[in-house]
Amino acid sequence: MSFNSFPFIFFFLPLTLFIATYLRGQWLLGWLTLASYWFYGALGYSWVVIPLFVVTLLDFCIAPCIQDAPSLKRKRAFLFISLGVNLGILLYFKYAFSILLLGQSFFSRSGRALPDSWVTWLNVMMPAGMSFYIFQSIAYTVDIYRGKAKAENNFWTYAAFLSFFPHLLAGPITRQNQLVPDLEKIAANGIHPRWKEGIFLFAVGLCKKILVADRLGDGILHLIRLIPGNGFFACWFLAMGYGVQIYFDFSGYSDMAIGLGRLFDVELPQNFDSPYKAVSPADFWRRWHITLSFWLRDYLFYPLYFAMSRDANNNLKLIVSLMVTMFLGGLWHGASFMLGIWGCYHGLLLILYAVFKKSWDRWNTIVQRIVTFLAISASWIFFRAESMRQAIDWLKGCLGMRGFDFSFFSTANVKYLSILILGVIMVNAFPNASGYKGFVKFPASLQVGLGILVIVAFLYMNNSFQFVYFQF
Amino acid sequence: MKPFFATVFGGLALGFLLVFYVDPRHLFHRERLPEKPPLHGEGMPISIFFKYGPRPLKLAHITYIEPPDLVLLGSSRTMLANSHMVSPSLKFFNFSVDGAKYTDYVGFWEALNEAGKRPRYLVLVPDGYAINGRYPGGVWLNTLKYFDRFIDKDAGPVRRGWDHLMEVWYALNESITWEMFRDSTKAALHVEPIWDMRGITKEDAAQNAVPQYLGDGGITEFPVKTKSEQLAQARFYGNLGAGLYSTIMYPWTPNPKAIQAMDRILKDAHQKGTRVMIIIPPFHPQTFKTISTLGALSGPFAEYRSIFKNLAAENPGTAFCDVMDPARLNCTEDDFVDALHMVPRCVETMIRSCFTDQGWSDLLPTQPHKT
Repeated sequence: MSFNSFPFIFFFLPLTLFIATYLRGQWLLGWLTLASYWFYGALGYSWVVIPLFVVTLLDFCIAPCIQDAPSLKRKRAFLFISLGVNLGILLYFKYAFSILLLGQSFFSRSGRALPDSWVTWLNVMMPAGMSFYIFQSIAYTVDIYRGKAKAENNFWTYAAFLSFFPHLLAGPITRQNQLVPDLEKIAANGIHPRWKEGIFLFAVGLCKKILVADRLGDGILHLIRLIPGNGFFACWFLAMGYGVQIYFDFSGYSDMAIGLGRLFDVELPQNFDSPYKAVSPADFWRRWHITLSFWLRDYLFYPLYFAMSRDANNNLKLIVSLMVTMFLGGLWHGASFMLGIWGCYHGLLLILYAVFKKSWDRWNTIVQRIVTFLAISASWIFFRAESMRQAIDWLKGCLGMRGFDFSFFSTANVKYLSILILGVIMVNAFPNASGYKGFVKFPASLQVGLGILVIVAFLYMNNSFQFVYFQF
Repeated sequence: MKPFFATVFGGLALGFLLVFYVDPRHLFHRERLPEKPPLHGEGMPISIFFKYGPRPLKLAHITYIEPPDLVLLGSSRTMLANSHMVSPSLKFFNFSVDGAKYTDYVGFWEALNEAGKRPRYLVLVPDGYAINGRYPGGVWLNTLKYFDRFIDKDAGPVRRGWDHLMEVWYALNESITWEMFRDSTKAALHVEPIWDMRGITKEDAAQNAVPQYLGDGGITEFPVKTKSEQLAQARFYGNLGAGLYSTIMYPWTPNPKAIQAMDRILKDAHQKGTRVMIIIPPFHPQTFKTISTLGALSGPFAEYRSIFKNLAAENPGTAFCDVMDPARLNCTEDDFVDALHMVPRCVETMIRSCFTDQGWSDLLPTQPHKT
């Protein structure tokens, strides 16, 4: 069951919300947790709720120990236990299968069979959304260790905080102080759905996902297979197109998640702030997947930076911390060499920006935006390419090394090109949906227009792809 | 909120009424199918993806064909099988349909029974998902009606209660699609004569690279792909491992109702003197290698095989031929268009090999057809 499915929209959501509006206190939080586990298990594999429950139980139990530990040494010990288990689970599920494939290749080269035990233990699939809830749980325990948060003493509050279905699969990664107060509020006062903000934002997210991201995805899926023969225009279309597809896919998901939160009277943090309006690489990361960027900053970049010797050169500290953070941020997306390169590429962009900041800031804003957009678009090549060879072929095409190939502008591709242009216009001309305040007094004409788009989105629902970020 | 909800629900209701009334794919009004569908030997091939799904067309065609000697029930993997692959003395018809579920196998069998055109030989080529209770996607209403009639004949109903509610759900799910809305609108506006059963010409079909029906229920080859694409796709499936399972098998929970329904076909066939063969079809070599290496052959794939092997063992007169391993057929990477779909040559090899192994070689042509 996914947000872009009929069972979710016409069955799960109305039923969950209807029952929730009649409940208070522990019952309400318990119901939200139960419904979230149901939602999660209904993705196809019911066992995925087990790691979620283990993480929930572990961090709920260990948080008071961290908080009340009599010495710093003990605090650290408890924190390391929590981090060890959380990261252990994450690394196991995320990378075991890749290790298996590596092992398979290694053993087959030496003419031996892979041991059965390897296959048994490493042939696992990562549950969707695991990275997100584990990062959320890590933030919680680390904040308690740092004295920035208090250990939750109500199990259902913590379970609902970690599993709340709108953010469970692909964020936003929510901190304790962003969600728990709202959960406590609805537990005390009941749910007062913010209908208009919730439904309209959900509808906008659905349209972004199905009408733009998925339709563009059709064309990209077709063209990407032909990369070795694609010319300049096709390669740039693919790079920019994938950038727009992934943006509409993920921001559409985030809009839906935030809209669902508002239906349950809970405000989830904003995850996108029109990132393609960014005027620099640093600005991009303040606008793209905001909750992950801030997570990486607070729990990886700063600790790395401050862990280095005080005597070290500040620029060197910055460069090392940035590169390591972005490299690990890339690998967070998956065990792939290409994703590591993608992370390093962004690290390099950030370093170059820091070095040339003064000259860059003198440029015209429009030029800054265009250059940033092109630099970010080029980065998607490493993100999307399935191999280094494909990435190099793709880059060669972008550099015009295979000619321009005007046949790309054929009738079949005009449709996808139009969607790309429409997407770029929407990105630049419209306000960011999750921050838009006008839904409360949304004019009737716009409601009718949105309603028509929703109908078209429903018609295409059966041809909708899975959300890209579920795999991370 | 009123304008929004009025637009959404009003629009959906109107759209559904239009689809229901025009019913371009004969989901709701099968009786409207024209007198004689041009499936059989009229020199007017029709695309499977054009206007009509294979289910209503093949069901409608049962009325017009001579009672077949040999019938094949399978999925998209066997849609390419045709009468040239069996002895010319046999009347052959291929009832394979894309995404075939157990309701399709039973539905076609019952439709043949009702028309008094039960074959002497029946070949079943089931996919794992045909009996997978958790395979996403609905059942098709066209064959579901026959399925109901077949099941209701005996005691021990297979489908009851929630399943009927699910039928409505499937119908809605299938109706609220862009393709249905587009076809219905075109028909309603007479943009395209929806009742025109002439189909597209051979030239059109060839130009658009769409498969065409042959006269015996088989189709011409799937759209031609370049070799690199074929291999890329095969590798895509082969390397994904866990993703492969979700495409073909996972989440895997055998559906007892489906197994029971398949068993009922075998029992019914035996009672009525039809000889049956169950074939487990091959995968792309790379795919097979991947699932073997990952131990999946001892998991869901093994269960899928053993379920059908047991069904064959429990039903007298039922032969069983397991060629999941493509090496048994000498089918190479070039014999597949993706992880599981064969080219005609491999389909023919599969039939030839299984028929020979199981003592059905008198049903084969003396010389292999040049596919």
